Amino acid sequence: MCVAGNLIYVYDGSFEGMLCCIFEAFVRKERPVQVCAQSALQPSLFEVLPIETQPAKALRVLHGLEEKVSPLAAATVRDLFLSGQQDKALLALDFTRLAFERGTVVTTMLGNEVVAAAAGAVRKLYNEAHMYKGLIRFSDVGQGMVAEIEPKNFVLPLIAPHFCSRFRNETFLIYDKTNHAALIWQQHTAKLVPVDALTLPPPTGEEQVVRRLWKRFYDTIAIEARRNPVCQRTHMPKRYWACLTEMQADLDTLSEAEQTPPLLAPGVGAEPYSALQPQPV
Amino acid sequence: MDVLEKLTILTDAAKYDVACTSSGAGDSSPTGAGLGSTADCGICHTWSADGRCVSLLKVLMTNVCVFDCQYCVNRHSNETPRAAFTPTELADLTMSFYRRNYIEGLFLSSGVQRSPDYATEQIIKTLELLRGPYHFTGYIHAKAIPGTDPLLIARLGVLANRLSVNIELPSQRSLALLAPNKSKANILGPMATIRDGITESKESLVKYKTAEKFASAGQSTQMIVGATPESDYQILRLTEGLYHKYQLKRVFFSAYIPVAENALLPALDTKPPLLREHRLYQADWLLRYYDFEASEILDEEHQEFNPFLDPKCNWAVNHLEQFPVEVNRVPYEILLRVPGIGPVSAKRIARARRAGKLDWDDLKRIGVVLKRAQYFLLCKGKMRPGLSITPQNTVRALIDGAPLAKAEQLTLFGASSAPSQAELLEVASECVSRAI
Repeated sequence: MCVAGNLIYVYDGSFEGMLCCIFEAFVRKERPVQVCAQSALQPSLFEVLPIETQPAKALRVLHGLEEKVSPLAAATVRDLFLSGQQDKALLALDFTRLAFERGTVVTTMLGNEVVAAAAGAVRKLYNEAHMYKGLIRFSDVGQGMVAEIEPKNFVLPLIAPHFCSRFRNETFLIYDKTNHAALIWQQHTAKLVPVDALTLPPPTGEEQVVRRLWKRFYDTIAIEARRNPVCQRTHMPKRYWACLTEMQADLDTLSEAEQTPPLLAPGVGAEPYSALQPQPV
Repeated sequence: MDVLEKLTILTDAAKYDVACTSSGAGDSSPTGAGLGSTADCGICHTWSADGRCVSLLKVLMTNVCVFDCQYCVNRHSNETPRAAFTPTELADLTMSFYRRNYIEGLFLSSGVQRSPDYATEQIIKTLELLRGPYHFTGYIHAKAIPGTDPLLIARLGVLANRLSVNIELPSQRSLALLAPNKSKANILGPMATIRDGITESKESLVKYKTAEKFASAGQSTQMIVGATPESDYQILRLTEGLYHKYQLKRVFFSAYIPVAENALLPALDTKPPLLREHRLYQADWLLRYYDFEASEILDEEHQEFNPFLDPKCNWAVNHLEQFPVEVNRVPYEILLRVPGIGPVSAKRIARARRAGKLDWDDLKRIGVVLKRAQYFLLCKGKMRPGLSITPQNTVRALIDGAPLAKAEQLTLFGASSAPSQAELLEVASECVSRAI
């Protein structure tokens, strides 16, 4: 029986770190009030327990789920890590505990509070990943194609196979502003790397011409007699608009700009995404 | 004329075409040279100001047309600026949009320049350029023009993922009246050619892996609603027939937007019948995903849709003897017939009840929307606690608010004593109750 502790578990923000928190909660037979990444820690009255990341422990949790419960349950925990929901790590802990208690059936127990919450978070993640398959906009910066996104969830690992297959002979980079990470596809190899900031050069002449063509197409395709901004926003909420070429106000003035390469500020941490790296296609 | 200007004219000329879907082509993960892939579930790349999903670069090869279909902006007799892409211009445009992930592929149609065969040859030239030297492996939807040589259509089917022939109007009589250059025979001819091509290719693919794929995402069609006097029932029957006979993937409907002053057509200030179009799509969904038959939705006595109820609710309130049903026991097919429950909810219920009996709270957590469903369901033999079922409040909960909101907007600036939403709801419920 686990007791409710007055502790906040803090991990380094990695997937392995989150799994180690789950391991620790099982060992200590307790349920912390919160499980939280170091970077998201807020001052509070609760005692903070830093959890050290040990890959071996993380693997035991993951393999345990895969073998003693089901691969689907293990995938759910991984997906929860990618979720942008604040309580995701605690939810992953509750879900794992329930999974070991109930076995394979856990992923069908959609009426259960924990499972329903987990399924909801995972659904939001996949919905957003699907949206971004369409809503990413690349710009040609000379050395390759670059795009920026600002998702609520960490969608890059999920959309990587799609873009790497579709643009297999291109060189591209997708920068995730929210999670400070980038997916880089170069010479038929994909890599997920931490990135602190990305500065894009002003668009080249050709890039501006194509953007203008696209904007014109977008404006022309709408039928005035059927105008329906509410429907438009329902399908494509405004939070996506900032990164969409066609939603920028004025693209009609072409400007001459000096061609400079994009500036990438790498983030710290050696291999923070080791468990999430895209598989070779 | 530069490409920007051509793009403007030829997009404007293509915008009334409805289909912009990119689904059904199967997930492809091509390797080797080239650019592009297809996704089975379809991907929307943006939504235009009218709320429609934009997935494909939808343009005409040219809007020069020798046909004179009265309902069409591109008809021969209409004075409008004309333009034509060269195959290279269009292929380049497609590639530069696709590389930037603006689009999922190309939707290419054309006005009938010179003859159907000539126009189709221009489309083929563009597609050959894309599939050949440009190594484009993304999605292509091409229009087959009525009256085109079957050999050209066969070539088109090899190049495109989806083909469509527009049926245009729901009856031969209307076609004769408004589209003198088209006939039932020269529309259904290509449709049959495409159907046979798809069947043949599927059969060969079973035998040889390398057999040529023909319109792998199937064929679709579209028709204009509200330009001619056909009833909803006739249109739905026709739709069902097309699905059965020609194995279409989709039938699209487009509410007629007046583009021409013509004694045979609705007046220029007529609003497009959007509600009717909406109801037709709802009924179309019932045919494709809910295992309904057209005759269950409408019949000889009831030829038009109920404006206040969606077709499924309408069916349910006319078959109250079959309800309520027990969530924990009822088969999936019947679950699908409960108003408010669609394939997603029904599948979740079917999955969740394997783990144990469900009660009302479970249903809510699963994500089933109970607003309408609660009147038709029992959980562990019990009605939802606190729910009182009277004909009045059942009907009130079932009424589709959208048309009422529209009505309120319209009257806002008219009469000083415009009816409120509540009053409208009252009138509507009374109306529907009487009908039942």
